[in-house]
This record gives sequence, structure tokens and C-alpha cells, in this order.
Amino acid sequence: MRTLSTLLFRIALWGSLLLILAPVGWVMLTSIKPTQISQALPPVWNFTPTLQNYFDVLGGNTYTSQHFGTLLLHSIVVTVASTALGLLVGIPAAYALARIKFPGKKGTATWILSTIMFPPAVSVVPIFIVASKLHLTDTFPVLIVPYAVFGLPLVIWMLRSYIKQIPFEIEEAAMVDGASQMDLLRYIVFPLLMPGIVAASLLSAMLAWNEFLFALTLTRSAAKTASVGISEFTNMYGTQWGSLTAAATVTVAPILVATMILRRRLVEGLTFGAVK
Amino acid sequence: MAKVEFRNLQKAYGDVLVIQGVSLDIADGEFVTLVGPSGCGKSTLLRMLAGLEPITGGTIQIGDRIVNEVAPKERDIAMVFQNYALYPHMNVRDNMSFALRLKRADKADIDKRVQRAAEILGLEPLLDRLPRQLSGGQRQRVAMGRAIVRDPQVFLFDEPLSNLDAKLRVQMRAEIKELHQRLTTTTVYVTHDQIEAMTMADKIVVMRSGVVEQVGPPLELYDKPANLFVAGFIGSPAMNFLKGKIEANATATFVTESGVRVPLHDAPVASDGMLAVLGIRPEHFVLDAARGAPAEIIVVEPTGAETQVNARFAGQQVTAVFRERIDSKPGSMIPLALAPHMAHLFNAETGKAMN
Amino acid sequence: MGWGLMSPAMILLLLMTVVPTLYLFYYAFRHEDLLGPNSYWVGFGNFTRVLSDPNIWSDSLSTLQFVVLAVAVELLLGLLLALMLSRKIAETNLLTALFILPLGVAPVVSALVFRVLLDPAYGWVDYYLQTWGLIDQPIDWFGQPVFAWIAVIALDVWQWTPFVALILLAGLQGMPGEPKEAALLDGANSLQMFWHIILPFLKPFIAIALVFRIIEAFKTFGSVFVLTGGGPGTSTSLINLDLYRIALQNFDVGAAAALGICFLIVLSVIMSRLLSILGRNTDILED
Repeated sequence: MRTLSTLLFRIALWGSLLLILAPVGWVMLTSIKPTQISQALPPVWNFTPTLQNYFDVLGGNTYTSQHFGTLLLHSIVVTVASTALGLLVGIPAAYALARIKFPGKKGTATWILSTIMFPPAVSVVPIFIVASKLHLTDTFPVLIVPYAVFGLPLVIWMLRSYIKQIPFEIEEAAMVDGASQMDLLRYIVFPLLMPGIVAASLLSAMLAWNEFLFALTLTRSAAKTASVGISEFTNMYGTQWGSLTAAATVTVAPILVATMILRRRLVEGLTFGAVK
Repeated sequence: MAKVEFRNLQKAYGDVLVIQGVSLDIADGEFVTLVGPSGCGKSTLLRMLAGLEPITGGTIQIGDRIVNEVAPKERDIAMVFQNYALYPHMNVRDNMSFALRLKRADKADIDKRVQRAAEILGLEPLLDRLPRQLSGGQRQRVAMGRAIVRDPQVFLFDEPLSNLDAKLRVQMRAEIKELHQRLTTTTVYVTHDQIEAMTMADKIVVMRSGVVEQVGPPLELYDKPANLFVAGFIGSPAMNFLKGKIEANATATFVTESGVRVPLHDAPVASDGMLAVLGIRPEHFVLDAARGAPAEIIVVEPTGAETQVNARFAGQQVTAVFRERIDSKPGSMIPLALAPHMAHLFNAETGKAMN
Repeated sequence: MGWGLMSPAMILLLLMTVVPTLYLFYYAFRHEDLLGPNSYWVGFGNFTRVLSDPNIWSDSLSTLQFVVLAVAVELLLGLLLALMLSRKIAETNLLTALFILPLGVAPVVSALVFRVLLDPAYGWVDYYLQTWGLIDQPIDWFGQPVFAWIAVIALDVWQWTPFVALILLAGLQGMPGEPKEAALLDGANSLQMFWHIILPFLKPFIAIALVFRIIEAFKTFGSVFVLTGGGPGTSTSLINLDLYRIALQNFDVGAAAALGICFLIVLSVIMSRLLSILGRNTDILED
């Protein structure tokens, strides 16, 4: 009886998995179909796979207004820069919140966490107006700074948790061993914080890479990102399934792989200090 | 190596005075243990010596200089933490050499020192392992190795054996003691276990509630406790206490609450009828059919080398320890008497020893 | 020293929250002519316009409806998924990695894919539903409010259930074995085990998943924008979409600012409730 219920269980599990992954499967399948048959109904299953769609997308041979490859580059620049900025300001803040006593600490920490409630749809309006006046629209910084800030509350809270996990005794031992504050950060805190930094970077990168509203509003062409570019594959001329799915695969692939590999770290950072 | 002096040391957390004016002299090369119950301030005292806790009042002197304002790294001390505090991302060799590498010491010198410490502690096969690959006892040794390599003026130990199992603890006690005999570095050792204190120290400092109750060599504290607290704290099983009063007539006698009369061989300075507490160590009970008072056995615990007996004596429960085997069963009566000159008398009000 | 380390982060955060809010307050009380010189004070005019617009109220309801429905379904399914994945069969690790996939897909991309798949004429969903005999006519997913809502909720559930499952799974995997063993010895069946032992232990994790999902749900823009555009009509229009439309398509900055401020006020209240839930159920906010 045990094995029967286990078997049914497995069927249920794998069945739901197939259902869940159906859209993803469709994307990958369609991306390697020749364009002529990609939209055919009933769907064609017998075909020779081709990478033509990918060449089209990355070679700029599509009906969209811009070379998709360029948009990917923009996304990379913005994502890397905003993640770096987020870490640059976030790590010291996390350390201060985790280790140092200063007045107003609890209130500040709570306020920082509460800023993730601020809807981008609300802040985009004033920022758009200011950016327009300063002629900063369609530049990289106008996305880099907001993206860094979007991830900041989570980055700071995650890193704070990770730092608290390092037993303070170890820092004390290093102090007795002769470490200065700089030595402490460099030889003890930073190396031990690496897993946390990786998790926080992934989270920040995900937010930046996937962001849509700000990119849509604040960029035109010089800084337009892949997220916006993808949405343009469906326009009044109909949908280019082949190009769309190829572009989607390329856009989604890096984050997808990273998420799968680092899923434990991601959740670790968010659930630290969960249990009372 | 250096001497250590505490002068009127005070520590306050907010309004609460945790250490209340402690003065102590530790001679060069001495092994001193700070013992006491949880919260007595012993760890706080140690951490103040290390420079990990700020000092509220008084001075600490290491060698010839007052170190109140000196940072931990400048005090030339090494510390072994309760949870070892090894650097998890460094192997054993790097853990031990960290301090020297920070000082940019000569590489050959570092290797030599690490090698020597590893030899002393039997760590050679483990030098390339990470802390998480080591057992508790091995981590303990690495923590000690880290301290030895520094060749400091003072060793500080903060309850290093608390996390080890009983057998390992006994073994490590001897090893630490042997280490001290070999290196002769001044050592300050904190523990809540009075057996550790008794077996390892040249001098014991008993603390309670931020105050030093008594300082002295182990056997002195054992034989001549200055007050009720020290008498009850040092020695296992603990000293038995009988409440009663003193009859200060021609033959000074202590009368327990239940009426048992104990002649006092050394007449104390006391007034007649003064309330007092008689202390008698378990091993100082004797079976004496002639002089003894009847005691009803409650539990007999033979440990092989000796026999521990819980009995009802003079109206309360006492613990007696005998070298010989006791055949009597629970419920039966044995005649218990106190060995001559072994009784301790304490003033019931102040707790101070009276003889 | 503490504030020194905090200041760069604080400056950036204030820049993106307080500064825009101040601008919002400025614009909310004015009629702002972005392209010309005709800007003037209108007092509470924008507020009355926005708050007396029935569409705004129905969209507020839609937003609330969206958050409640989506998060509720995600919690239930996520719990189910986590429970299933916590059973020890050989392929659990692989399965978990695969179930996580939707989380890594950009919301805009998922929305596009759903949009294409749900197309009544070319989409595979309607095609297969018909071929399998489950429906007679293709469902007009984007032409009827009910179906549009189903699509919107389904998209969010597809996207975010793995996130909830991941968090709850972390809780389940971290659960100590002894209470369960003791309950078994006491004669508990699976349901009792779940209700009295497992669920209480999962409370902090449920709280975390709940709080983070609610926050993110309120901020949803891209997926709904791409999937339905707020349609048909305004049936799936969320406040975020309204803000976008009013500000950047109608160029009515004053109204958008007023609406934004109202939204912020509501969100602040909600946020403080969420923070207290977090504080009561977890140690995250402890120092």
C-alpha cells in the first residue's frame, strides 16, 4: 500500500510540474521552430530545429525598432552597475545595523524595511518630471540609481541577518589577536559574508534585470533595456512568435539559471531570524 | 610574562553595578582561577582584563603599565574563548598564525612558532583542516594553539571546557595544567566548575555578585573557608550545614535545632545563645557507636572508591562520604558523629567564619 | 560612527522616497502644465476630482481584490507544494530546482507568454481546450472581465507560488524532528500532526511569505500592463496602472499626484499592520 500511495504521489508531483513548466517549455520549443510554422494550429511537432530565431534577434533582424542585442547590453550595464552600487552602500549600512549601537537605530532599521512598500508607479511620476527637467532621461544613471534603491531595503536586511550570524566572539578573538577595524572587515567579516553578498547580489540583479515600469517611462532608445524591448515584439503588426520566444529565452536564461542554483541562499537571506 | 593587578575595579551597566570594587594581585607566572556562580562577574572581569569591556572605575595593570585605555591588541594577551571562536574560513595553520600574519612577522619565524605549538598540542596532522572538520576537543586545542603561538604576557581562559563532555574535560584539565607548568605564562582562568578550579589553580578567587569572597590557594579555601558561601561552594559533595546555637559555658557546645549536642573543641569567641551554623564536610563524618547520634539512611550511593550516604541527621538531610563499604539498607539507622576538630562554625547572621 | 556608515544608503533611500513625496505634495495641489506656462494652484481640486471618480474607486476595489485573491491562492498552493516537496523521495532536490523556474522568469516575459498562449485565435490554450472537448468555443480571455481576471490571477499565481513554496519549504526542512516523533507516539494522525505541530512551527515563515507577497502584489504593474493593459475596459485596472495612465498618457500630473498621495497613505497604514505581523511572529525585527 505504501508504494502505491508513493507512486500516486509521484505522479501528482511530476504531473503538476509538467503543467507548471508548460509555458516555459512552449517558449523554448517555439524559439527553435522555423518562423513559418511557429504559429501554426494545430501545432507542428515534427520539424527540424533551427537557431534562426536567435540569429534574427541578436543580429537585429526583426521588426522591432531596435537591435535586441543592444538592449541586452543596456540591461547588463544597468544591472551590474545598480547591483554594485547597492552593495557599495548597503554593506556598510548592514554592518552598522548589525553591530554598532547608535541612537535611533531601531526606528531607522524599521523605516528602511518599510520603504519597499513605496510603489514605483507612484515615484516614477516625480522622477520622470525631474529627470526631464535635468535632461537625464534615456541615460544609464537615471535607471541605475533607482534600481539600486529598489533592492536596497532587502539587500540591507539580508546582509544584516548574515552579519548577525557571524558569532561576535570571532570578531573579538580577532581583536585580541591584534586586528584593527580595517583588518576585521577585510580578513574576517568580508570573507564570512561572501555567501550573503552572493545572495543579495542575485536578488538585486533580479530586480534590476526584470524591472519594467521605470525602464518604460524613463528611457527611449539610448538606455532602453531588454524588458521593454521584449514587450515590443507584440505590436500592431501582430506577434513574431519566433523572435519573441528567442528573445525571451535569451533574456530569461541567466537569471533563471542563477535562481535555480542559488535558491537556497535566496530564501536563507529572507528567512533569517524567522523562528522565535 | 607579567604580573597583573586589579585595583578597586568597578563595572556598571547603566545603573547596575556588576563589579563592585575588586582588588586582586596576580603574581608573574601564577595560574589564577576565577570561580563563582552564574552572574557573579567573573567573565566580565576577564573581559575587562582583555579589553573587550570598558572599565567604569578602578585600574588594571599588566606588567608595569596601566592598561585601562589600551586596546586589546596592544595588551599582549591571548584569550581562549568558551566557544573557541576559531575563524571558520581559515584552516588550523592559518588560525594559529593569524595574529603573527597581521603583524607582518617574518614568515620563517611564523612557521617555526606554529610548528612548535602544534607539536606541544598534538595538532600536526590537523594543520590543513578547517574548524568544521574538527571535533570539540580538537577545536579546543587549536584555540589554545592560537594563544600559545602569540607568546603573550598573560593567557586568558573563558570557561574553555564547558562545551566538552565529562571525560574529555578531565583529560583537558590535566593537559592545560601541564601546559602551564611547561610555559609558565601568567594565566587567568574563568570557570563555574569548582573542581576545575581546585585541580588547576595556584590561587583561587571566589566571586559572588560582583564581589570577591575569598582569595587563596585551593587547599586553604578548602580547609579554611572565610564564610558560608565559600564553604558551600568549594568541595563536592558540598559541605553540610546544621543550624543551631552556641552554648558558651564551660565546655563550649553547639546545639542543633533538633537538640543534638556537639561539643566544640576550639571555643569560639561568641556570646551564649548566639545563632550559628555548623559546617561539616561529608568526609568528616565518622561511624561511632559510642559518641554518634542515630541517623536514618535515605539513599546509599556506592561509587566504588567510596560510599556516599544521604541520611537524616539532627533533623535534616546530610551527605556523608565513607572510604569503607556500607552494608546498611535505606531505612536503617547508623550512628553518625563528627570527626574532632573538623567542624566549621559560621555566624548565622553575617555568614563569616568564627574559628 | 554608526551614522557615518549608514549615510550613503540613507541618502539614496531618502532621495527615492521623501524627495518624490515632496514633489507629489507640490503637484497635488496644482494644475501643472508641463509643456507650457499655465500652471496654477487648485487647492484640493485634484483630490476631489480623483476621489469622486467612480472608476478610481472600482479600481481600488480591483487592486484589493487582486492582492487578496492572488496572495490567498499563492499561500494555499505554496503550502501544498512545500509539503509535497518536503517528503523524502529521491528526486526532491531536482524537483525543487525545477519548480522554482517560474520565479526566475521576468514578470514581463511571463505576461507576454501568457498573452500569446491565451490568444483566442492563435493561442495553444484555447486550441487544446477545444481539441480535448472541454469547451465548444474559444474563450475570449481578454474580452470578458471574468476571464481576464482569471488570467491575471493565474499569471500571478504561476509566477509567485514557487516563492511562497520556497520559503515554507525552508521552514519545513528546518523543523526539528522531536516534536513530530513525540506526537506520533502520542497517537496523532497526519491531519492532527499538520494542524497542531507543523502549522504552528511554520507561522513565522507564513508571516514572512505573506508580508513580502502582499507588499509586492500591491506594487504589481508590468505583468498586468502587458497581459491585459487594464482591460477589457477598466475591469482589471489596478491603481498602479491608473497612475501610469493619468500621469504619462493623460499628462494630468496633478490628479496623478493626488491619487499617488492617497495610495501612499493607504499603503502606509497597511505597511504598519504588516510590520506588526512580522514583529509578532518572527524575530526578524529584533536587534
